[in-house]
Amino acid sequence: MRRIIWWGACLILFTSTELAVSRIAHAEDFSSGNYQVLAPVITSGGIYATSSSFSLLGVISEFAHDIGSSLTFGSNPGFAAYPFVSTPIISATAGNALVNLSWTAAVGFVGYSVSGYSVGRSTVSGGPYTFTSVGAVLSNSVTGLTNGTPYYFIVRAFDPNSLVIATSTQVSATPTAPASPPPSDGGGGGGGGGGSVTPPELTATVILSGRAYPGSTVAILKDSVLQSRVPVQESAAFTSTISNLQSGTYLFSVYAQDTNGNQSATITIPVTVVAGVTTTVNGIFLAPTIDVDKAQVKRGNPLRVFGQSSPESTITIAVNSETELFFQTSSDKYGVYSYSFLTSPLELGSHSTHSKSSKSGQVSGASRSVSFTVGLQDVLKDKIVERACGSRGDLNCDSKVNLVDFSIGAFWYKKKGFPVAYDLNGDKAISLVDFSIMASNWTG
Amino acid sequence: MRYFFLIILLFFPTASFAAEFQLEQQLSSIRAGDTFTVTLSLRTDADSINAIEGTIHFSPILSLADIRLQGSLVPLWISSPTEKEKGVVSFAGVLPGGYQGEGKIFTLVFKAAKKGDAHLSFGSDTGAYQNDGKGTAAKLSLPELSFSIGTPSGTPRTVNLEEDVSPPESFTPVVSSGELFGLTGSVLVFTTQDKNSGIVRYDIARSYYKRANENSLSWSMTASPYLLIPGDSTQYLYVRAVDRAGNTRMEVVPPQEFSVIAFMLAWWWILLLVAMAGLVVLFVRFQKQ
Repeated sequence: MRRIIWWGACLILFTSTELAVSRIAHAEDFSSGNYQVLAPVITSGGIYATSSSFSLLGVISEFAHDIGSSLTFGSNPGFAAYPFVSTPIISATAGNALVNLSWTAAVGFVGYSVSGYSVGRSTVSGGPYTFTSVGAVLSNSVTGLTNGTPYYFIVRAFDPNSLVIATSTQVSATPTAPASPPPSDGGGGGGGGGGSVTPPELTATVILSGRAYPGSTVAILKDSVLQSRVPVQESAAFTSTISNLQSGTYLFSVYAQDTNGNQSATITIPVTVVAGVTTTVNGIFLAPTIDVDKAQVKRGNPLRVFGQSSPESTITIAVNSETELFFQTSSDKYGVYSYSFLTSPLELGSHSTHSKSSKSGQVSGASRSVSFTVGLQDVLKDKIVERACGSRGDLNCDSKVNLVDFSIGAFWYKKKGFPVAYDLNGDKAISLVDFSIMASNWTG
Repeated sequence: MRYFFLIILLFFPTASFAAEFQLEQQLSSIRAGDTFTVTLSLRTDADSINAIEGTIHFSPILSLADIRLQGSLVPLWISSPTEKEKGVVSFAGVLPGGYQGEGKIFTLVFKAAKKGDAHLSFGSDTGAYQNDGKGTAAKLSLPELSFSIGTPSGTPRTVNLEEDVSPPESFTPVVSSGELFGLTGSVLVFTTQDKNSGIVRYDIARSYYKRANENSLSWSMTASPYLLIPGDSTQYLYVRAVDRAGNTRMEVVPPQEFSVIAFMLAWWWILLLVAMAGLVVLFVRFQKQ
């Protein structure tokens, strides 16, 4: 049997290179505090490597699949246990016998890549859905629909092996025939006077919904300008309605501030709206907030990583170092998570960590990164005095990073004589790097 | 077996970029005299991008007719795309909060001046930065675009561009300290966006009236920050954003100091009522006496 597999492998290697390339994904090394998998390879498993005389079935690359364990290491089934692809956020805008769908890109991590999408549609909430492959695009117009009938849609992301690696939440829309114009005067009656009646201007509406953190507030920005702050329910669900929009494409940005005041990463969603039509954006899953208890940790001592996410979700913490470390924990019923790990595997120097969350098949994007140093002694984070303003892009020190700060920065762009505090990266110039730092701390 | 797959990976290393600027031209053939579009798009991989800048160089046989911002991912332009020198379009913009995915940055409208090989490429100053709070430069792919322009034949083709009839976005001018800009006194800070053709200028006017008619105001061109001059603080300041198509958006800033004139003009009808009531009381008293 081994010989058969070996020759089969050679056959694939030398005669079906294209086949082999398109069906292999590679992953980065990962480890826990006392466990490492080096040069892992992802294969989706099953019926992909075939020839007339050879068939390779099952997962063969995860040599440590479910078998790596020790007293201090709880094995997960390889890197496949970690969330690997963020879930697309889907938008639906109804038209005349059609629905225009768009979605955010599903982003692969740990070596996974997205090669295309398919759109599933149904007239029953929850499916079953009829799927149509649409390729590597982020929008699709579903036509030939019946006006007045509610339709339900989901989007699936595929890897190069055509395996489903992410599925959006469901969104619904009801195609509607355009309103008929008002009847023209057909003669008859008189009545007189008065001016002409101007029909009310049609505007568009966008409804955004998703998951944040219990007890937090979600900020909704339209084209970088704060529109509203929405309280989040105990379940972490939130909904916000933005009305009176003109037809066009808008960038809606969503972020949350947790109960400790830490701000999440921002999700930006381009939405094209049509006057007189409501666009629904479903499945926004905000990445967790994240912080660490020490600005500097003595090598070997524990570092606590904490933050807030959706309640009872799985939190994956990644520590960026020469060898990336992964840890998993869960958030409690308030969405709070906390995880301590020993820093003995980390080299002396600067490191950063970020996290992501998964729940009910939905996977968030990556959180903001938080930095820490591995050194010779512990320094608690709250002992570090941060500048009250300026360093995060709040140039006018009003506790907001918004258009006023942008305007101040734009005034000094590539000029000399600027206040030192505006040079956010300390390179003695106001350049696009300073705007990048400002943009990453944007509050609107 | 693991090594088997590793061998394959060694044979087929994959180039990876955090982001790519793409130039796309839709027509299969272009003839001299034709008008056509080239779209600049941004495609990001696993990294979120929040700032972009650069230059696009194009061949002299192309003439830039227009630049359109419809559907752009960039809400804030530090330097909106313009042909600052012949054959070079410069741009610098910010995407607050970052963006991950694919989308349009802007569209260049060209007229093919004569037959030949057309070429568009990016300047060495083109860059994109990650949304990581440090302004880390993203690894960027900058493919060039080349195509041929044929001899003129028949009626030159044109581009049907959607007319810009929408005004610029509403905005809120803010009175701030001039120290932020190295100026003495107070300044008015403002900026807004136009989703279609882009902002070309701002105008300022002043009035004691809260709801002055746009056409009745005396406008003068301005820029942010506007240094307030004596008299500005007691009047309503009107700031008008004008887009390339001539659509306007007017915003008003209330007086920063109490003004008797503005107060009387705003509440004249109450003052009139009070005065009339006073006259009535006086008249009644006079009658009683």
